[in-house]
Amino acid sequence: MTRGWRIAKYLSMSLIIAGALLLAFLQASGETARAKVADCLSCHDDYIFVRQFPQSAHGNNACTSCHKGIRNLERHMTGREKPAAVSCGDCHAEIAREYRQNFHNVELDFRCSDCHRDIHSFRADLKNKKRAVIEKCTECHGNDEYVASGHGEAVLKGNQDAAACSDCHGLHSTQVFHTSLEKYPAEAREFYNHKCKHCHADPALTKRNNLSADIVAYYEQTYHGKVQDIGYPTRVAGCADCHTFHNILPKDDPRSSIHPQNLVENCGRCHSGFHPRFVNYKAHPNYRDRKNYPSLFWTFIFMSGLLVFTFLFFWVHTLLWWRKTYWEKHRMEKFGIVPESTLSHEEGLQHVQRFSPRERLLHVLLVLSFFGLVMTGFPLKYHEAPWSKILISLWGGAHQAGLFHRAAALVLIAVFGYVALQAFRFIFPKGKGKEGWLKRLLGPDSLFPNLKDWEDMKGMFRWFFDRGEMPKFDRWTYWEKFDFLAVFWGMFAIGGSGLLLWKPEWSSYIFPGWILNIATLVHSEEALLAALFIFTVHFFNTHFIPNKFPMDRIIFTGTYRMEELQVQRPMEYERLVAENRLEPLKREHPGIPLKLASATFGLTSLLLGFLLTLLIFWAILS
Amino acid sequence: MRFPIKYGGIVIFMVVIAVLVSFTMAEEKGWKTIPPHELRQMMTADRKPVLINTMSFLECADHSIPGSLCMPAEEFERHLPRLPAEKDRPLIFYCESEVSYKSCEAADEAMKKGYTRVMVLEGGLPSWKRAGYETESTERIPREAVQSLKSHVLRQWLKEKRDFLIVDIRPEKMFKERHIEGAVNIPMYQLHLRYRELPLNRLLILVDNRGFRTPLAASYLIRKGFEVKRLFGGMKKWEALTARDMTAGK
Repeated sequence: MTRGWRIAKYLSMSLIIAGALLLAFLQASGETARAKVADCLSCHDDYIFVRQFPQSAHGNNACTSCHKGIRNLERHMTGREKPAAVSCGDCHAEIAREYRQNFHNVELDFRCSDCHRDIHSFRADLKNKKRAVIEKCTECHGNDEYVASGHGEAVLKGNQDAAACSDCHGLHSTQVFHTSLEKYPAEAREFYNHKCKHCHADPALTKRNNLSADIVAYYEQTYHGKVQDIGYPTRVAGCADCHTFHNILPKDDPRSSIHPQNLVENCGRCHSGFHPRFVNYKAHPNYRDRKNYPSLFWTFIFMSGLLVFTFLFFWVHTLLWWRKTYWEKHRMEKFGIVPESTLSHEEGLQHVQRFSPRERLLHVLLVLSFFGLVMTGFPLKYHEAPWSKILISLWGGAHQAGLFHRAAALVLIAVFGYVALQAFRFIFPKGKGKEGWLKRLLGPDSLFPNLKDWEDMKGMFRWFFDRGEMPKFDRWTYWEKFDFLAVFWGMFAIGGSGLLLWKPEWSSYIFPGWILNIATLVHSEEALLAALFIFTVHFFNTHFIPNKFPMDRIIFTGTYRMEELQVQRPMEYERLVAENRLEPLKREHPGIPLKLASATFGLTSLLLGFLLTLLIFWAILS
Repeated sequence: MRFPIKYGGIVIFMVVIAVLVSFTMAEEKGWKTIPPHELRQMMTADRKPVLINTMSFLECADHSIPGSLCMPAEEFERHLPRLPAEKDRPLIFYCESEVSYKSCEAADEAMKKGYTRVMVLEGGLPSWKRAGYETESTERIPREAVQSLKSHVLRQWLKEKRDFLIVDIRPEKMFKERHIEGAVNIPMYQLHLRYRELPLNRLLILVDNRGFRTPLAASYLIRKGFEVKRLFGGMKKWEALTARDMTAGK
C-alpha cells in the first residue's frame, strides 16, 4: 500500500467519524429541544401550541428559543419565575432596526405581537403576501376607499404588481408621516410622490399592466411636476392631490376623483375662482401624441421649427462672420497693416450720440428684467439639472422665485409698452398724423425692415465668402432690426402666455384649460429661444465680434467716435452730413465714471449670460 | 457740556428696572431641554436624575423610561409631595408629544416649587425610542385590533343617528373649549378609575386630540368588555373636516 493510499484511508475514516459525531450531536440537541418543548406542552397544552405551532413558520423552534430566561422550571411552574420579554429582533434584526423608526412604535408603542397576534400559528404564504398585508392592516384601518380602489381590487384578484398598503406605507418601516402629524407635510408629500412614481415609471411593470410608462415623465413636464420636483412640495399638486390617497380609480369610473364630473370639485381643492372649463387642463399630456393632443402637438412642432430655423440661420451667420473677421484680422496682423483713420485725427475722435439717455436707461432695465426672468424661470424649465435647485434656493424657493419672475415681467412689460408707444409715435408723430407714415416706416431711421436690408444681408453673405465688400449700412443693420422686432413677437408669445399663466384661474374665463398647456409650452420654448438668442447671437453680433471684443459700451455710454460712425454706418454719416444734422449730435467724450460703470455692468452681464448659456447647454445635453 | 444730574437719576433708575425685568424674564423659563443621549449618560452617573412621565397612569404602566415616576400633568399638583426633598436634584420631565406640551407645563410647576435643575426631554418619549433606548412596561395592555373611523364616516354616522356614544378622552380643559356634539368626557388620566361609568351595551367611539392615545385606551376598554372603535386622526382631523365643510357651505 502506498503512502498516498494510507493518507486517503485515514482522512476518509476521520470524516466518517466526524460526520457520525455531528449527527449524534444534532440528534441529541433535537431530542433536547423536543424534550424541552414537551416540558412546556405538558402545561401549555392548548390546541394552538400542540397542533398549530409545529406547522407554523416558527415550528422548528423550541418554545425557549423565544421565551428565554426560565432557569428553574419548578419556580416557573409555581409562578415565581417568568420568562423575559420576547425579543423578535434577535433573529429578525433588520426588521427590528426598521421598526424602531416605525410610526406604530414611536407614537403608539405597538410591539411585534400587537400586530402578529397569530404568531404561534402563523404560516408564511409568499404567493399571497400582498393580500395578507391588506388583511392585517385593515384589521384596524378599515379603509373602504382602498378596498374599492383599482389597487385594492387588483391585489384581491391576485395581481402582484398592484400596490398593497405596505408598498406605499412600508411594512415595518411605516414613516412618521402620519396624516394628523402635520409636522412633516413636505417630507410626506415627497415620500408618497416618490412611491407612486416608483411603480408608475417602471417600464416592465407598466407594460405588464397595460399602463403608460411615460405618464410620470409627462407629469414632470407640467408646472405641477416641475415645481414638485424642484422642492416646492407644499403648495403644488403631487400625485395624491388629484388622484386622492386611497380612492384611486380610472377616470371613467364615476367614483373616481378624476372622473369628468368630479373634476371641478377635485381641482377646487387647491384652485378657487375658476370657470368650469378650467378643468380641461391636461395634467400629464404627451405633446408628441398627434392623435390625442393635436393642438399641443402642432404647437410643439411650430415652436421646435422656429427654434431650429432661427438658430440654424443665425449661428451659421455668426460663424461665417466670425471666420471672415478673424481671417481678415489675422492677415492684417501678418502683414503689419494698421487700419487707417478715415477722418482727420481730431474730428475722428469727436463723440457722436447714438443712444439717448432714456434709451440707455431702457436697455439697463431690459437687461435687469431679462436676467431676472431667466434666472427665476430656467430652474423650473430644467428642474432636473443639478444647478436648478441651487439657483432656485438663491431666490428662497420656487414660490419666491415665482414672485420675482412676475416682478421682472412687470418691468419688462413696462419697458416694452413704452418702446411700443415710442415706435407708434415715430410712425405717427404728433401734428403729422398719417401723413407720410409709410415713408417713415420704411425710411432709413426706421427699425422696420425694407428692401435695403435684404440687399445688405445678401451683401454680407457675399462678404463672408470673400466675394465682395462689406455692405454700407445706414442707421440700423438688418440684424439689429431683427433683434428689435423679435421682441415684439417674443412679447406676444412669451408675454401673452405668461399673462395667461399668471393667474390661470382667471384665464379660464377667457380660454378653456387646455390653452394653459399650450401657454406653458410656448412660454417655455420661447424663453429658450429668447435666452439663447440673446446670449449667443446678440452677444456675438454686438460684443464678441473680434473688432469689438470683449464688449461694445455704446448702449451704456450712448456715444461713439465719429470715425466709428463713419466706418460702421457710412450711409447714416453721409445723410447726417447732407441733412446738416450731425452738429446737434456731437457730445463730449464720456467721463471715467460712466465708462467704468458701463464696463462693469456690461461685462458682468456678458459673463452672467455666458454662464447661463453653459448651464442651459449642460441641462439640454445631459 | 455738563450732563444734567436730574436726568442722570432717571437714566440709572430705568437701567436698574431693565436689568431686574430681564432677570425675572430669564427666571421665568428656567428649565432646559435635554436630548436623549445626554439623558442616557446622566442616568449612569452617581447622582441619578428623577424621571417623571407626565402621561396618564395607563400609559405610564404600559411603557415608560425605566425607573420613571408617573405624575399625570392634569393632576400634577396632587402628586407634588412625591418629588424628592432636595431642590437641586435633577428632574427630567417627559411626555409622548414631540412638542412636549404636558411635560413643559409640569416643568413650569416644578420651577415654581423651587426646584433648580429642571429639564424636559427633547422630543419626548418618541425621540427616546427613535434613538433606540429601552423602555419598560410594568403592566402592559396588549393592543387589540381596534377599527378606526375616518372623520367623514363619523359625520355620516351622526347624520344617520346611529346608536353609539362618543367618548372624548382629552383633558377637561380641551373638552370644554370644543367637542363633538353629544360626546362625554372621561380624560385619559381618569379612564382606569371611571371606565365603569360607560355603557357596556353601546358602541363607544373614542376621540382624542390627534389619534395617538385612543389605540391604547380602546385596547384597555375592549379588555374590560366594551365594544369600541376610535376616530382616526382625532379632533385635529375632525376640526379640519368641519372647517372644510364650513368653507364649502355644507
